[in-house]
Amino acid sequence: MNNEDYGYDYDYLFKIVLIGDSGVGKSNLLSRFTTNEFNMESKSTIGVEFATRTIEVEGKKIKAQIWDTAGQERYRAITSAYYRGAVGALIVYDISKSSSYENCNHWLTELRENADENVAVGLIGNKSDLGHLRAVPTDEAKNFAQENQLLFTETSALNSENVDQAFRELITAIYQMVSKHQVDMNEYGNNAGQVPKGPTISLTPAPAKKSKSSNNCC
Amino acid sequence: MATTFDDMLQASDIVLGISSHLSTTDYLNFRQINKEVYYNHLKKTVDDQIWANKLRRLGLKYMESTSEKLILTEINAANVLQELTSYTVENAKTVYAQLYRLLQPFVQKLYKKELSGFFPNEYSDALSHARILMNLATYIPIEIADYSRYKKIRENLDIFRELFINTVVKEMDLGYENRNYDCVTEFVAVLSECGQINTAADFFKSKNDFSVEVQLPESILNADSSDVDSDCLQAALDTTKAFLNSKIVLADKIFGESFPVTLNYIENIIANNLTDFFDSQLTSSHGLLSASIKFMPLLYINIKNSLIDGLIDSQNAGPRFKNILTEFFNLYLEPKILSYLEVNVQLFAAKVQEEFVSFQNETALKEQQQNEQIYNSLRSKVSDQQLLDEKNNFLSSFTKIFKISNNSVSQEEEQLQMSYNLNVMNNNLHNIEMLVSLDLCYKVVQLCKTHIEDMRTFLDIQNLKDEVKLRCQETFKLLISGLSRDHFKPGFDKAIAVLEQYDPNQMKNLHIELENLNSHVEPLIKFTEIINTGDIVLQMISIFYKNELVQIDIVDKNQDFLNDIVQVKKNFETMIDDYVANGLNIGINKLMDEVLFVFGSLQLPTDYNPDPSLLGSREIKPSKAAYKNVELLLNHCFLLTGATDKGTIDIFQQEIGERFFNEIVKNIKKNLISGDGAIFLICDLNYYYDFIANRLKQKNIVPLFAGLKTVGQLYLVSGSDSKELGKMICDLGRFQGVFTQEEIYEMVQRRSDWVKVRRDVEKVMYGLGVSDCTII
Repeated sequence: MNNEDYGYDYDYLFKIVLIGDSGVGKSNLLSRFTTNEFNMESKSTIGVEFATRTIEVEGKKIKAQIWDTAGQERYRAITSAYYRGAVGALIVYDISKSSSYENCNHWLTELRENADENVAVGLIGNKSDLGHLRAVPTDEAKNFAQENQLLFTETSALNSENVDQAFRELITAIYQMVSKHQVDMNEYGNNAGQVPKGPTISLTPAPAKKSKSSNNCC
Repeated sequence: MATTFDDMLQASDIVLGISSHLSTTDYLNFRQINKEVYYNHLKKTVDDQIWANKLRRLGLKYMESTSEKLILTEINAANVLQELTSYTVENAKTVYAQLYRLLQPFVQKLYKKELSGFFPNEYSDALSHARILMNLATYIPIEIADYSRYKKIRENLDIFRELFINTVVKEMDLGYENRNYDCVTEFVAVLSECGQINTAADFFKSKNDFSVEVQLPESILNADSSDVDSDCLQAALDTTKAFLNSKIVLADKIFGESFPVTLNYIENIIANNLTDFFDSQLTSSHGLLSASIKFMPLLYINIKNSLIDGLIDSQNAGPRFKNILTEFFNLYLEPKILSYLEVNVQLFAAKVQEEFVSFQNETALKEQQQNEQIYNSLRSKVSDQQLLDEKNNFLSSFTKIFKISNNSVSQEEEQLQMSYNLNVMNNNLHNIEMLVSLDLCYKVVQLCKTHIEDMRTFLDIQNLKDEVKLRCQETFKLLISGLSRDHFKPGFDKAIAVLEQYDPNQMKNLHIELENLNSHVEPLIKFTEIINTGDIVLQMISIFYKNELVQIDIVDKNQDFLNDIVQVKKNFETMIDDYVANGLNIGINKLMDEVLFVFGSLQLPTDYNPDPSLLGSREIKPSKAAYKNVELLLNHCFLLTGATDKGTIDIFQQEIGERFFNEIVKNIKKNLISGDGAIFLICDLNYYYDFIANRLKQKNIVPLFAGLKTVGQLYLVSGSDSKELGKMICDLGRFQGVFTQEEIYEMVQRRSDWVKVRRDVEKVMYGLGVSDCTII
């Protein structure tokens, strides 16, 4: 039986969105993380692109379904569709372009408005390879992240620096939150417990089938 | 009143008139008839004028002053007219007296016909005799006034001269027979002096008759006339060469440089002997294809190389000897060369025709054999299967077999017929590449080259230059028209017919397949091979035209727009282009049929409208239909690369892209798309976009696919955002201007929640106070 078609090859599926100004390197961050590729001539994204990668956190297989969005989307209906169901987000700016950093506030606001309140957020200062052109001091960004309870990493999709780490940190954070959430839910005596309910449920549930089988195992 | 003779002598005019009719002796007497005549009418000045007139008539030149050398001791009858060349009025009588003194004795003898001992002893050699005779011939007419006397003298001179020449020829013959060539040379000079150099030349000719001395072979062709026997040809040319060389030496010895004989002598041999010989060799004919005239170039080249170039130099003929000989050959062989040129063109046409016809026949035969083979294989396969089926039926139920057995036989027949048709179709498709043969094209182009090269042997002949060019052009035109009419046209017609018949969906229904036939054939791939051949042949023709016609000046490059040869070439190119376009169009149709088939068979309703409970198990990746279709396009879009020009490839790829786009739109309209399914649709649309933008790289059609990506987002929007959805539909700029509002509206109706959002969307769209929405 083919696992991909009929079963599940993961324990958790997290939807993560990449947001930030046009041109800060979201698509290349994604391709670096999922396929270890970098395209020097990549054009600005039209609509939305998807990619997935499964990593292991604390012995669990976690599949990250990452949405790479166009930086210049104007319609709220669409951005809200992007954020719908997202449990994590990376707000990306370009360290050599201060306007892209300044806009992070806007992106954060939009995210908070549209996404689940528990969404895990990371701030990414991309293009760290352009140190000589740096326009955004690391400390300033770090402070901003702390104030807003964001993870923070400076990365370079070009030379791979910290890319994996940034995604892993975010995914780990989500995982920790989810497992805690589950415990909470269990405490409230919800059955099976792994399928969160309610309109603002932010976590794509691990499928019932799988959970049953894992329950049986446990 | 009576007029006496004396009275008449009173008138000067009459006296002068009489004087002009008198011979020299009579005039001298008449002048002394009386004092008046002597001192008055014919006084010294008049008399001087009369002598001067005579000298003038003899061709002497008038001079104003007295020449110094009036009397020269060496003057004699043989050279008098050569020595005395001028006169003055004063000395005219004296000069004339000298002539008279030296020549009149001979005239006297001629008059009296005293021909024996005609020349006094002081003139002992034949050359002097000849000169005296020549001088007499000039001198005698001066006395024509006394006509009867003149006539007699003249007749006797002619008789005597003939006698003299005969004697000279006889003596010369004697000398020639004794190989005393010095003696012969002397007599040649005598004959020349008498204006009889032709007699000498005729003498030489009669003594050196080619047909007597040289025996040429009956035929220089092989027994079956299929080829030239080169040894035999060489021998014939060697014999001729040896003969001519010996005569060149002899003529130089006898005639030296002074009396040109050799050229005329050899021209005669070329005209009368050699031309006849070669003509007879080239006339033996057993039908066009074996007409021996095709050996004309070979003969001509051999004549030049083995004969003319092998001749020694001739003093007598001068430095341009060999050039002149070549011109003679060109002149005398011209009629044969002309008919060769004509036959050669016909021959090429016949050969090309034969090649193409036999190719068509072979192809037809091969096809027939293959069809028979298919039929037989199917036949045996079907019977086996039928047996097996019947056995199964038998085992399963007795009643059943009785019920269906009759029916089943006819069903099997039907099945067999259909399988046969499909397998034949499939096989035909396989054979498309064989409908036009590159080998055959190469062969006829090569043949054309040989024929043109052969004709170019005669390009240097000034008279024939234009004719040769014309014939070469004609041959090239025949090549093109043969290729186009007898090969490419039938080939492409068949190929296109096969393409048109081919139905990929029907092929998939093929129940009985033969193992040795590849069941899945891409019609376009096969068609591309024939396009490729066409392209190579066009390039071959282009190079051929440049190298064989333009470079060698068969066609004037600067005037080629006037030349119908260019037109013919262009027509051929246009024909192939049209076929290619036509075939590609059909091929694209077939490809789109397959695309449609893929959408119809592989695009499941759940692809874009998944069961929410199964959502978690689905990878976000393109659907099977998307993979398959992109693979199909990938297999076809680059087929033409290298097979034809960039422009055609662009049009081809863009056409495929555009039509694929239309199929995608249709496919969207055919499916229901849910909010959850939107990401899968977007994933497919992204995949299509990626193929067009990054693989196909046809910029013109990228916006179409970018537009599709944006369309995908319409399905992502939550149903609760229906008002903004309506706004988006009106925002045409958002869709790259690819779609009209109606089209977007049509597509958005494929939302699975359309019934719920419809009211809000239409409210926004149909302008209920929404300013940024306009419908025209």
